Amino acid sequence: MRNFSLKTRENSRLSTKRNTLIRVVVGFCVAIALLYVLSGLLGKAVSFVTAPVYGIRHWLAESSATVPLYFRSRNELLAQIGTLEERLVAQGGNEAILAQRTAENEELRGLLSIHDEVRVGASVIARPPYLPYDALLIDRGSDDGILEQAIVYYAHDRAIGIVSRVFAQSALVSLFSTPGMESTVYVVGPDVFTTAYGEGSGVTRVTIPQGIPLAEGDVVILPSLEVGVLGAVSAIESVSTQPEQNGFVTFEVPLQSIRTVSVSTRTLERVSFEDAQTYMKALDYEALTIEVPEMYRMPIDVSASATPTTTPPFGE
Amino acid sequence: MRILMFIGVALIGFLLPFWAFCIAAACYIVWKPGYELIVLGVCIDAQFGMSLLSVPYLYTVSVAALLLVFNLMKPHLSIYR
Repeated sequence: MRNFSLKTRENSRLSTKRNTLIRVVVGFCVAIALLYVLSGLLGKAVSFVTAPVYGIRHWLAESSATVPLYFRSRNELLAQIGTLEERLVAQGGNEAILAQRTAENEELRGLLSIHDEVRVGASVIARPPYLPYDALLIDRGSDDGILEQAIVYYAHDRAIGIVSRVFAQSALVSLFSTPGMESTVYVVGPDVFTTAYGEGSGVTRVTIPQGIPLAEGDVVILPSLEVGVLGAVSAIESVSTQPEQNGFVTFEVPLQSIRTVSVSTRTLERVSFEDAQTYMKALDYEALTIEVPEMYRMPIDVSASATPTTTPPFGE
Repeated sequence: MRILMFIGVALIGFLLPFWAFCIAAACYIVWKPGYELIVLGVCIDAQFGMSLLSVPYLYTVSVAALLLVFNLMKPHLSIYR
């Protein structure tokens, strides 16, 4: 009896497995046959049923109605918050690196006995539109040690212009964006020297040959100054048929927001071409040459220069 | 309850990616025998048609495979004892 019961249970399991197999295989075959024969008709019928579902999804995803818009805006804002938080964390890391580099820079400058120049702080008392656009009037003049041709800075290292006229208690500053003003600049990124042209209205243009990669945000510095950042490229004009591309540098802060500036107590020392030539002539180049004895010199045969010849080894 | 679950699996199949449908179908088959899912697979295949980039009758074949595997496994699973 017991043996019979076990056999019955085993037979039941086998029967269940077989039934499952048969059901699935038969169902699958019928389904494939249906799909093969009536796929078009079935597709139309299913589309008719599912159309409202897709309509609702489209309404939620694309519609400008209040409810979907609310949920979409909320999701977009949450995503934006996440991105900004990530950027903030990265910014914190960058600030730490910057602080370390600044400290290191200060230390190295101290070792090289390079000290920051003395500057005079000044307040801006007139600015455009009460002056021509690319000029500022400051409240310090010759009585305070302001000299003509002195560089004017904003926020420690932003060179914004040059003192063009000095009065007793005020001075006029011409910005580097003054039309016609040219200055030699170095563009960090493409790493090239070029000329910056004042375009007026607070815009300075730097020209770079085509083919050299120039990107928005590339920093432009004035190498003639110890510390002098002109700004960053904010727009690029590049026409492939033109030999040069233009990068436009604008002020990072509006002129109306500049309240105080600092003025260097030194003036720019201009070196003319003639001066440079005079200095070059005065250099003693003989220290850079070595007198080679006659026997070690290479024989120079002008007539044989067109045809290659073998030269005997030294000492022979 | 079974009808609601079936509608849920159908919505997942029509609206979400293929892998989500596979997970939902597997859960449904573990819960009930789920032979009706073959009909659902046929409907989804009929709706989406055949793409040259995908396996033909992908949903029907997958449902059949899941039904076969899970229903044959059921007697050996401890949760059914």
